[in-house]
Amino acid sequence: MGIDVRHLSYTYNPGTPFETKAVDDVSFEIRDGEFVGIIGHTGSGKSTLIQHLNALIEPTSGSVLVDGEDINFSKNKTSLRRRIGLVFQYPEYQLFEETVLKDVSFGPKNIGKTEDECLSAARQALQLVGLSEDSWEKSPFELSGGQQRRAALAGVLAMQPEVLILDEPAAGLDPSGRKEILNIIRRIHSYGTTVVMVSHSMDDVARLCDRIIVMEKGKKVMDGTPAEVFSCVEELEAMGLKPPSAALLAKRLKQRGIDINDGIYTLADLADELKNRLGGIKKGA
Amino acid sequence: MLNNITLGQFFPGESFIHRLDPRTKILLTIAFLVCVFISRGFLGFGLIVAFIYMCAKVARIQLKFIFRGLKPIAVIVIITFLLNLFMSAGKDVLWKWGILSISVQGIKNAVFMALRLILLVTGTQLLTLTTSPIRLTDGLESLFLPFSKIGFPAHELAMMMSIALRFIPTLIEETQKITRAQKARGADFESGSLIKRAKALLPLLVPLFVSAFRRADELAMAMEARCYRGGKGRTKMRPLRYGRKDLYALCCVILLAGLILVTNASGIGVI
Ligand SMILES: Nc1ncnc2c1ncn2[C@@H]1O[C@H](COP(=O)(O)OP(=O)(O)OP(=O)(O)O)[C@@H](O)[C@H]1O
Ligand SMILES: [Mg+2]
Repeated sequence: MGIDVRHLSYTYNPGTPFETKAVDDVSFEIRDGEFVGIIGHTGSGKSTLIQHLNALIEPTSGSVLVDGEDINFSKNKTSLRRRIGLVFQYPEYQLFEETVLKDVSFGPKNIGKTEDECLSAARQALQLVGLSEDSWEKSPFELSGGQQRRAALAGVLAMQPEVLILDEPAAGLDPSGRKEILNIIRRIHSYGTTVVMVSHSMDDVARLCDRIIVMEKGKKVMDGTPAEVFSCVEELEAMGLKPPSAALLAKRLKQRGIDINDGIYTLADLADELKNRLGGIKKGA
Repeated sequence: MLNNITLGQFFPGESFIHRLDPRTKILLTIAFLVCVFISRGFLGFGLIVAFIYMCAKVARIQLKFIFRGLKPIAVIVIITFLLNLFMSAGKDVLWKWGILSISVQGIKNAVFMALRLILLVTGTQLLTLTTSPIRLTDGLESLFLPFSKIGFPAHELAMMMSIALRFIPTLIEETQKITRAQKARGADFESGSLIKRAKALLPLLVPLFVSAFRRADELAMAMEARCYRGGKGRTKMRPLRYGRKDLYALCCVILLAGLILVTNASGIGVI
């Protein structure tokens, strides 16, 4: 199921002194099975943009097509939102039920599943995010921050979406919580779900995504593979974005005259490359 | 839906009127309301309209923002108009049906009363459009401070009002976010019976209350950590001070009141 975004624009508070053009003529397409990262400076319109993808916000102009149909004219928005799951930033603030299990089955219940189906979908989702069984009957408010985040993620996964959209899924977590959440997302993608992830961390995006969209001031300014995007170190820095540390290091080394291949942006690749090069130098010396 | 709640509808700016002391503006607005009430004829109203127009021009506020504020009272204006139209007893009756009658005097009365209401509201609009809610509370606190001697909690009320004003937009935004988050999980807030809809609010209200209490807690702690202990001996970062421009504004309103008294006395256009 592809998502086709065409000339999308959105303005907050039109016609008042507080008018803000948050998304400005953005077009792109998301194809099945992709892992797309959306990066951009704070306020560049990332969150606004992704809320259009499952019809939570109606565009000021332009359209979003899913399976060739404009989703703002679709009658059954609930079924659309089941297929395109959206996890908001700090999703733990949406927890409300008495127990974690009940909260996670809220989504499946809304799309008309039977009680048994709901519970089995919820259990499956909770296992997927690695919440241990003894926390399922606890109140979601008793969990730690990282656990709450995973429970909220499970709440969307329980609807078994075909496309999963995440807004800063790792924001505000400690390094180990970050790593766990990102591993879960990577696993979900490997099961065949299309993933769109908004992130501030270039390193995370570099490691996970196979395509990156860069936003600035509401506009899409770059769209390509990580190698393409992260080779433009200067442009990214001009936008106030910090390229992945490996890309920066590679650039510095090149400036010092060490011959390194272009398109290296992950630490693992850089380490391999250096091993090859430096190994070679040593032998020659 | 929530976007339509314009709070205090403040229209930021740097004009002469924006920079007036909020106390001046509150007191002069009251004086303005008195002017509207003492005016006995259409000539006086003409002066008041001219005054409002001038203020709007000086404050660089488009007239459409002033008219927008009239929408909520449109019904009241129409009812007032109709009541006066049919109910005022006049000699020269133009039309009669049962107890209902329209006279020339009735028409004049109806227009006059409707206009009076409109002018009262547009005048107060000028105050709220040009004064930020926080400045407004500051002004009210300062005006009510003398009454704290007789136990009126001026500071506490003002503090509560500022906190509420500060957090209402935050809560509105939060409501919007949670609504969307639950919608993304298939929640439906718009259809179904009344009971079903009330039940559907639960996934919205629980997180909203949880976060409101959390915020209240954090705010209280942050205030205590900075030694807040009520209004006693507390100084202001921007103390209110009357200036020369407040005097000019006062003169303008006195002039308006004087002119209205003159038109009343002259009897031109008086009904
Ligand atoms: N509810 C709202 N009302 C008015 N303006 C808004 C609202 N939400 C966002 N904006 C404005 O729209 C612009 C884009 O905001 P958005 O939240 O989409 O950015 P973002 O890229 O997600 O930023 P961040 O990285 O900080 O999350 C910003 O200028 C913001 O001030
Ligand atoms: Mg955002």
